[in-house]
Amino acid sequence: MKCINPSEIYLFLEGELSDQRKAEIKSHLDSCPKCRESLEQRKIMLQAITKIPLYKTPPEFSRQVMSNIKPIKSSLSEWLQAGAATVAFISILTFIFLAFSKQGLTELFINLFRSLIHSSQEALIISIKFIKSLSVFINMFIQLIGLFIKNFLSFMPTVSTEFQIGTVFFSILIAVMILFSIKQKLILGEKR
Amino acid sequence: MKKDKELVKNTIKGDDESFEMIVLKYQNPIINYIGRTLGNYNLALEFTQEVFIKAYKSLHTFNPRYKFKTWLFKIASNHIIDHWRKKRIEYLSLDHPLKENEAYTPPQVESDERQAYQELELKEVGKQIEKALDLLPPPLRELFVCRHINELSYEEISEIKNLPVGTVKNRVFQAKELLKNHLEGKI
Repeated sequence: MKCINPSEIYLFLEGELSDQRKAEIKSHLDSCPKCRESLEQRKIMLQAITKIPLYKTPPEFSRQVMSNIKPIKSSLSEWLQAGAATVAFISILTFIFLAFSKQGLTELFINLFRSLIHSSQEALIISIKFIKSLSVFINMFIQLIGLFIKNFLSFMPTVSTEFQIGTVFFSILIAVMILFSIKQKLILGEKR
Repeated sequence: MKKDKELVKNTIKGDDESFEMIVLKYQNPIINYIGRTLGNYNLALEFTQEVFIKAYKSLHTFNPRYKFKTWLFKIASNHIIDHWRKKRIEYLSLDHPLKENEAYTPPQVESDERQAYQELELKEVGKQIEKALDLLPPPLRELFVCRHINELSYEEISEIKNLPVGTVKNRVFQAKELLKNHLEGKI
């Protein structure tokens, strides 16, 4: 048997080898003083590594982390607080408006209702215009796809069945890969 | 002690004490990983805190099919890479890589060299290794720390770093040999 590679000596010392390989190495070590020496050196090396002092966090570390996490958590309640403050502000404005104008509460609500209906009508017109433009765009897209399929089908009979199967398989593979990468991105949310 | 996945589940439900238990469990492994890889305790302290905050924020993205420990180390690893990137430290290529299957000839060990090794207290060698860690190329140092300071398995490191197990083994070996050569040069 040839002399043992140092990388295998480390793996042997770390118990990372199979039983069969361990036995082979043991039997070689019995007959090879150079490899025994090499093993001894690396054994000391591994033992010394365990003596490297370890870092420790200060005693209040976990508390510090938790206190930094609390503000993140309270962000939702901050939104609720902001919402409540807005409602309160609008109420005060309404009250002031009522106090200084000669308008009654009923009149104010009627006027508000009217302006609301007017705004809704405007919004509806804009939405209809948007849907119309969108439908034109979708129609164009469908026509484009139709054209592509038509050209593709006219091209397909000219190629062999194997090529057709290969193309379909390749397309499916790409689609699966895209889906898988999206899934990975969503699950891990971390770059590698 | 509760299992990691249970603690994660409870944290997502709103139990902050569960997350604090996670912090208590992993604060020292993470600070050692970052600190020994970057060679800077204060920076590691800051980064460790950021890693836990980042983990807390993205806990809902954790897939319970994987080990929480490797997920957390992966976040720490990304933090280290970001730091290297900002500092423009080369983290992809290795300075003096050994070839994957480099032909091996047994070392010719001098008897006095051997004696010198034996004379040194293990602790002293440990201290020298600690100092020599800074001389390793960053990517090798990171993998060495994972394996021999954090005592992660080669498989776990492979998952964290997204590298084949064989590559991890080879790079950790390179790190140890560089450290060994450095020590022998000093003795």
